[in-house]
Formats: sequence, C-alpha cells, structure tokens
Amino acid sequence: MRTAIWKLALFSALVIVAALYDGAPVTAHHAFGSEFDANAPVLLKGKIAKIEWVNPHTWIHVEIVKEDGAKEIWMVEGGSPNTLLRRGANKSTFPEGTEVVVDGYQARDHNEKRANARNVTFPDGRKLFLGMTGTGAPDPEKFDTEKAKTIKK
Amino acid sequence: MTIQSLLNWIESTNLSIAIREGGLPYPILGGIHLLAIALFGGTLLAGDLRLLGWLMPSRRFSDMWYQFRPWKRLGFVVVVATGLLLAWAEPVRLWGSPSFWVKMALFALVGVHALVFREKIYGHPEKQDAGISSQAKLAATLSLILWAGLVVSGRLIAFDESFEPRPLGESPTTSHAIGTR
Amino acid sequence: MLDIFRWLVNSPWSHAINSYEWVFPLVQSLHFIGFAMSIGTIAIVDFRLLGLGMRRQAPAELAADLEPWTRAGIAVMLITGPLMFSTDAVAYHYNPSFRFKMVCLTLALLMHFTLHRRAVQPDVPPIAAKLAAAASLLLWTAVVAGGRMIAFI
Repeated sequence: MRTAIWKLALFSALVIVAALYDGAPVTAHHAFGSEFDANAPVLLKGKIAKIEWVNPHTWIHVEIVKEDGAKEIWMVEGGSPNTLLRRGANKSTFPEGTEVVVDGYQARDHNEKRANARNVTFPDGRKLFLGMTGTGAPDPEKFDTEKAKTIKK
Repeated sequence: MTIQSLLNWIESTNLSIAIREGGLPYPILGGIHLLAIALFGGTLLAGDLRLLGWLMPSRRFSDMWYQFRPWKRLGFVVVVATGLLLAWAEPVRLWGSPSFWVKMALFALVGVHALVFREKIYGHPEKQDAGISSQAKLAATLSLILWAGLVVSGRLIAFDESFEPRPLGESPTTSHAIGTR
Repeated sequence: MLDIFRWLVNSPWSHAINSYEWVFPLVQSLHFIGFAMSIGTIAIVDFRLLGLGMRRQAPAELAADLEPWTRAGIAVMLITGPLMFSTDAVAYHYNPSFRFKMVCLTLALLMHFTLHRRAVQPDVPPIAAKLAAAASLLLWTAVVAGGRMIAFI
C-alpha cells in the first residue's frame, strides 16, 4: 500500500508536469470565486442588446445609459440553456430591446464590464433566476440589495 | 473556401445548432465522453502500469495486453465519437482555443507513439513476457504523460479566451475573426 | 451545516484555488484521472463478473490485484472532490445534481467495500455476482453523470 502511494505521487507529479507544459493561457471562469467577486453585487438597468444562447453558458449583453448619456454594454453570464429551459425560459424570452433589471456579481477585475447574473426582472414584473447553482455564487437566498451598486456613472 | 467560412458553415448546420443551443445534448455528450474515460480508462492505465511493473506483475504481460485491448479500443472509439460531435457544435471557438491545439498536438503524439513503439513493444507483447525492457518502460511512461496531458488540456479548453463572449461595443473592424461570435 | 459550508468557502485552501484561475480546472483534471483509476479498475472487475472480458483470471484474483489501485484512485477522488466542493460549498449544497451524486457515491462506496468484495468470491452463484456487478456499474455511472450535470441543472 505504501509503495502504491509513492507511485501515485510520482504519477501525480507527471500530471502536474504535463499540465505545466500545457501553456494555454487561462483567462476565465468556473468556480465562481475565481472569476467573480462575491463582495461586489451590482444592479444593471438597461436594454437587452443581445442574447447568446449557447452551451455551456448563456450570455446576455445589457446596454445601460449612464448619467452623462454615455452608453455601456455589460456582459452578464447566465446558466446553461438546460438550466434556463428547466425554469421555463428559452431563447425568445430575451428579445433585443427589452428593458430589464439584472442583479448579480461583478467580475473580480472591477474594470471589466462583466457580471455573473442572479436574477433578471422583466418589464411585466416577472423575475427569472439565471444563476447556475453548480458553479456557485453566494447563498441564493441572500442578495445584498443595500450594498448593490447601481451602475450609473 | 476559407477556414473561417468552413467553420461558419459547420456552425450553421442543424446538428451544430442542436448541440450548441440545446438543453440536454451537450451535457449528455460530455457525460458519455467522461463515462468512457471512467469505464475504459482503467484498462489503458492498467496496461501501462503493468509495463512499469507496478500492477499485476505476476501476470504475463501479453495475457493482460490482449485482454485489455478490446476495451481500450471501445473506449477510444466512444471518446473520439463524442469528442467529434462536441467539436462540431462549436468549431469557431475551438479553432481559437490554444488548449484545443495543445490537445490535438498531444493526440497526434499518441499516434506517433503507437507507431514508434509498435514494432518493439505493442505489436509483439510476448517479447515483454520474459522481462519488461527499459524501452517498454519508457513507452509506458510517455503514454501516461500523454494521456494525462490530454485530460488536462481537454479540461482547459472551456477556459480559453475564445470561449468568452465578445464585447458588443467594439467596432466591426476590430478583428477577432477567429474564435469569437 | 450552512455555517460549516460558509467557513469552507472562506478557508485557506478555497482562497488558494480561487486565486488563480487555472487551479480549479487542474484539480478537476486530477479528479478525472482519479476516477479513471478507481472506477476504471472497478469496471474491469465488473465486466469480468458479467462474463464480458478478462476471462483468464478469476474475479477474486483480478479484484485482489487491482484493489490497491482502486484505493489509490479513491484517495485522489476524496482529496480533489472536497477541495472543489470547498470553493463553492454553499452553492454545491443547494445543487440537486450534486446531492444526487453524493447519495450515489455513498452507496457505491458502501457497496464496493461490502457486497462487491463478497461477490467476487468463487462460491457466489453467478446470478448474484452479475447483479452485484450491474449494480456497481450503474451506481458509478450515476456518480459520473450526476457530476456532469451539476453545471447544467
């Protein structure tokens, strides 16, 4: 058994070497905590500019208008198509031009106009939870609305 | 026809759209891909570990080899088939993914490895029955490293930049022609 | 319970994994290699019990020869699994696919160290051995499937 552990250690070392020599630059996601900031809740109020309904993540592009009139497009990550389908949504639930409110958590790099979505609220008041509980976000039940920063300027 | 137009054509096919935008096909294909690794990867690992003398050293190598072989082949076929379908779903993003190319390079090396060691080892497993040659041990070590690399690079694909959404606000002349949508 | 999970999310190792974006997928890759080792070797025995291959050895011999590697693989799983769980403990806890996976995993492990051990003995009627093998394969398949679906539920 002890020798088996040594052999496993050697084998793992080989794997790590293999991984290190795989020089792919990794720039994003998975494990919520490594890409999004659980302490940076944001609120985005604007129009849907585009919906990317693709696996493994859906993306909603939301255009907000800031106080000085400048327009900014934020990219908001939602769950997989299957996740959203199970909640009764599909591609046509997100027509371009729809005024929405999205709450979520900003990317760790606060210069990025990107967030992980929790909820999207439609003009008729309907609320859809976009979060993918699998890749994690803070407690689904708690969202710090007081602390949430509405992107205005 | 350019590469880009070929990739775009693939993405326009019904099959591609069904997997890329559908609910269950994508995770099911991924699941079968992983299941094949789980159920048949053992025979691959066991074969190499036997060559290194670390597993079932008292059993004749050629015995083990011939018995493992059909399972390895079955696993390989399933992994490649599901992999091809997954690739068919998002060729544009894959084309722009460095990890994908590393994986393909490793895959090519697996083929080279099989050819290089066929004559001395894999084609005549009985030659190892009297005692494993050091060349066979080298072959086994390389094989383990290559397959481990395949798993790691495969996992890293979804993390590459080409899988990020492209910011819409960019002017159309900003060229991210490959690997974005 | 939730408090323990919240503590895990804030643990040193969780922070370590979340600090570099490539760490989580690396840990996850080791998880895959670990299950290729553990489930893979278990599958060899199961196929043998079902009469589908590896016929030159008796099931008990195969099982005994492979067991150290099965355990090494299980050890890798039981280290990489909780590490990944820690990074998003609360969210995983709420994820139905994760819960399904944990139930199946518990049953699979229990089965492996009890019924399965018994089933490889020569005095066991073939039908019982085959049932045990089928149950084992089914449970481990459910574990992998449950794991895959975490991000898609």
